[in-house]
Amino acid sequence: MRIDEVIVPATLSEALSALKRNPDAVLCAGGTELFSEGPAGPADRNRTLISLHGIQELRHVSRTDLYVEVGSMTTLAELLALKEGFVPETLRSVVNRIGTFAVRNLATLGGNLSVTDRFRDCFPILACMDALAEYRQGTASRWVNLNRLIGPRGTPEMPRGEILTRIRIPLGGWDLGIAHKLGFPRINSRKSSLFVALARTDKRALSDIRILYACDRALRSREIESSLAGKKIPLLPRDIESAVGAYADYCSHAGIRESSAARFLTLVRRAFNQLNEGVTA
Amino acid sequence: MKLDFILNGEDVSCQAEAGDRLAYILRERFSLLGAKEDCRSGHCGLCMVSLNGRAVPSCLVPAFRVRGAEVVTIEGFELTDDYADLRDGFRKAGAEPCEFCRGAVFLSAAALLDERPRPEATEILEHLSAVFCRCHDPSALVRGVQTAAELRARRMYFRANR
Amino acid sequence: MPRDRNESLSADIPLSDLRDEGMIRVVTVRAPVCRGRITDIEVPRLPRGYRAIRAEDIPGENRLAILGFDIPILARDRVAYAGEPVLLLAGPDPAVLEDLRSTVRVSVQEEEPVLEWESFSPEQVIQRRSAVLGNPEKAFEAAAEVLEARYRTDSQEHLYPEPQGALAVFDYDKLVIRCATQWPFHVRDCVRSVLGVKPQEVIVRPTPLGIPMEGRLWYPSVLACHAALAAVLCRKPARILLSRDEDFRFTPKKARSLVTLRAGLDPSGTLTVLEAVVVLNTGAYAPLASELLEQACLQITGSLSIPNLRVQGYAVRTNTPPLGAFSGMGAAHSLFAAESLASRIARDREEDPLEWRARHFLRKGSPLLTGERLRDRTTFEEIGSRLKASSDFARKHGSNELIRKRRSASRSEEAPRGIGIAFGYQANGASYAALASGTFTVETTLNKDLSLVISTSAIAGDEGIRSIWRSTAAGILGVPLGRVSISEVDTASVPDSGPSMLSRNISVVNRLIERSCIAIRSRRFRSPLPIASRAVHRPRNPLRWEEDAVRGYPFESLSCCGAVVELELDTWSMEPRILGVWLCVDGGRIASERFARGTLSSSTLAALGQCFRERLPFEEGRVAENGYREYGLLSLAEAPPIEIEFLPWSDTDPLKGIGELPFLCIPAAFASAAAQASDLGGESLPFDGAEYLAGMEAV
Repeated sequence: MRIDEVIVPATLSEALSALKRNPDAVLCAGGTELFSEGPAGPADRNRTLISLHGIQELRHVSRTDLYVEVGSMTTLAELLALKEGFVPETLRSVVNRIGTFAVRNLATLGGNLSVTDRFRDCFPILACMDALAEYRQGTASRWVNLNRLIGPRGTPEMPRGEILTRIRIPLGGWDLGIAHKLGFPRINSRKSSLFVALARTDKRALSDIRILYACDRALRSREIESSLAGKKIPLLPRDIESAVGAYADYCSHAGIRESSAARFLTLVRRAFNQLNEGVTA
Repeated sequence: MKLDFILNGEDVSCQAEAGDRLAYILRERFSLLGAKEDCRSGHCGLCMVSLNGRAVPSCLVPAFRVRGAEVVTIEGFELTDDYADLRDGFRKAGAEPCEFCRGAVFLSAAALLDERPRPEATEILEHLSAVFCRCHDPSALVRGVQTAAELRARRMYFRANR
Repeated sequence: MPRDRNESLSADIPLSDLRDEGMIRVVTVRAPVCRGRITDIEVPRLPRGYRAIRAEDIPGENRLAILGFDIPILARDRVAYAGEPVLLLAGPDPAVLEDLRSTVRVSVQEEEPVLEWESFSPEQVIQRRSAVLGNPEKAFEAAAEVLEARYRTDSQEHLYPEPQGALAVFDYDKLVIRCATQWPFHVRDCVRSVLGVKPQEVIVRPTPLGIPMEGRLWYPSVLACHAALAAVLCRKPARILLSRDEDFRFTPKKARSLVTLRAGLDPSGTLTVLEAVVVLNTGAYAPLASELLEQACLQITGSLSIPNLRVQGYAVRTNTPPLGAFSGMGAAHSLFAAESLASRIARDREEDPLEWRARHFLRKGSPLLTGERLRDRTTFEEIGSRLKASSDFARKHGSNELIRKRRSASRSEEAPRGIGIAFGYQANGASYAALASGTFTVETTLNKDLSLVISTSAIAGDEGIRSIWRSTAAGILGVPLGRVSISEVDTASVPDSGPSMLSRNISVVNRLIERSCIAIRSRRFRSPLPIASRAVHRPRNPLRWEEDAVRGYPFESLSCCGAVVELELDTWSMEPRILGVWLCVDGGRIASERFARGTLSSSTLAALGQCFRERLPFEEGRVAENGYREYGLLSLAEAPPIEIEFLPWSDTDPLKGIGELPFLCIPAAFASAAAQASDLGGESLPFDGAEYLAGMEAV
């Protein structure tokens, strides 16, 4: 990318006005994604960049009994520095595995959720938690469930011409909280993938389960999740086999690579086994 | 664009292009060569600097971001007591990072000691993993940081009781 | 605080930090395809002060001659790999050069690239070695059991902290070359030949090298020639400095290997015969192929003594960037295979791998491939028993085996564990190929003020080696350590001490320092100061390779080592997590235990990286653009505890090289541990956790 102009707004309203004036501008949060791109190629056109790093109001973090709200420009290091229990532990463990401490000093939660080529580490876990993202444009604002940012082909469909300002993360215990990155830790590789499984039980029955696998696209089947709800815990072998079979069909419909599908199914099976073993999040 | 910022304790000013990175500015505009500028992806950490008190890979920091900020490079850090603790601690412990990674290792270690004055071995290795170099001997680095932590604690104690 | 910019002639400053008044930059225009004939190079109109340099502009010879192998400095007619230098652009502004580079059009009549190497055609073979010991045919006939296995290792990047490059500056009537090289005189000779000038008109002063890892033996000479051409043709100081991406994609990497072993055992399970075919994929150019191949063949049995042997080795050309030397050189490939085979046989026979090996260890008097008998005492048994005690190997191995067998019967969600052991030896002062056959010199001078100066072109990668050289000299002459200095390397003033590779800094250079200091000592009170003494190394009896035979004694001495690696596989990602590494080393007299431990620890991390992390993403003969960003590195956060034990030594024991030992032992120990944890064969490195995970669930 070639940058010919940089706008550094000090407030959100300045940023919104700047974006209105430059609807094609690229928004820059911590810069760790944009600036780790290779050198600009001859075909790259000049772009205007709006850097949000100086907007203090986008770094605010607050918490109620029901949710925690994190400003989009909160760095990953700041997120980790919050006292234990402030944000869900599964999210914390995901953040702790992103890059190095020095990269986390720059990278922001908003930036991590806004990458358009493929989903980055925080997206799957927050989508499974039904986190909401607030987008602002002009004087208007809207809250969007992160799951709505997964396009029909499973690829990211991030809003354009709007600024991600806050992320609202619902609180609430999960009896199973699994979030794993497959492939190498600390780096974003085309070969890495992310697996998340969250589950709640109620009176020895599965009340809620959410499974998301993000490779070159995100896979989540609410149909299969619904079919599992209400099942007794421990899940019976035939329930597990039938769910794994359903996921196998789902993968083949989605047309993902066989090796990727195989990994997903192994992890689904493991998640069920762990659920049966009664491991709590 | 014009950049005004504090570099190693001094007010400085320079011209930069919109897409320049801090590592480039430090090397080309100020001849501060302690930060290497090789990987441009934050992987190797050899371009580590302190930006507003936090260690960051300067290859990932857009130059425009340093306007009004405070930047300390290894050349500036070398003038501090914290550096002397690390230098002496590493020497005492027989830990010798090579000439390429020494600055980045020291800045990362200093960032850790600011947060955790008595770090555990795992914390040290976790922190220093921000710098990649084939010369690293993990146990020597741990000894080096822990010895530096002791020297630093002693210095702080004497300063407080002076 | 700003450093003095005019430092281009001073030492100890990395190449990337060197600048010179009026310095121009040089960038490389590269071949767009893997193989073909260049039909046209279209260069746009260049601004004033910029110049394109083509093969035709080279005043001397357009070739880098090393060990009888010719490598073009700039491709003229044909290209042999994607990224091969075709044209140089020189000028003052790097940004302008980048823009110009993207507008140069290199037209190539493309030909089908040769990328297959495991089954290769005769035309691909650039080096071949074969040798026979005993009577393999008869031994196979008598064998009670015959088994076969194939062992593969992939390529690895050296990943120096500073990408490769070179600076050429004028010092009066001389051209001074600055670059990080393991072989300064090779740089000088290549530049001289490319410029068509006399040797004394070119001076090489190396810049800091970092850990050498054998990747800077010859390629710095290519870049030095590029910088020198630009400097001479543009009459300005010139620097070429590859970007990290260029360095990662286009400079030499470790050779890929396939070792096929066929082994015969007698009814008692004793290995009586081994047939080995070693294939090394050495990419487009492989000047060190003979060195790699000979090592691989001579150390094909690993730590084992096998009376009947047949070895065939092939270095095979492909249209990928040059692949070749890495720490461990050729021996690393064959030791991985031989030691993995040993572990497999023990596993198949349900024997303790250490006990099975104990019956086979190479000992003094064991027959070597050359027909001679091993003259050194080996210490594998003692190493084995120490490792057994320190790592609790037998108990852990036995219990992991039990769990492994149970695991096969039922699915378990526990993180599977494995522990593996392997042995190996580093050959010191090996006289394999032409690389070791030159004459190498070191000079020491005792001055009037009783200071001692060591003068050598050998490059010490770290302070440890320099400290050994200084203490060797100080010890012999009774001079305080602080009075011993090592002169800066400058080809105009130091003697040619040869390439700094393998253990040569210890086994050759340190011995030369010893000899020259002894010579000074004998003249100390008979001649006035200063006294200078030169010691010259002439290799004794180089090996002679014939059809199916090799003659001569291959090693001057051996350093022995054993390694145990314990790991577990992450239940979710199946990526290995190393729980511990134990090394036991017999490296003769250890001059500085601190430096020795440091070297072994850092080498252990690099060797482990090669086992499961560092995967070079070759696709269609190329490393993808920005592949570096996806290159897995074993970070310090994942570093396991590394326990290192040295066998006791006496002050009269010789110093030996030890830095390569982790590269020789750890891969096989890791593979054996991974095999136990995963139930796979452990026949291929790097281990791919994601692939293993995918294999657990058939779709």
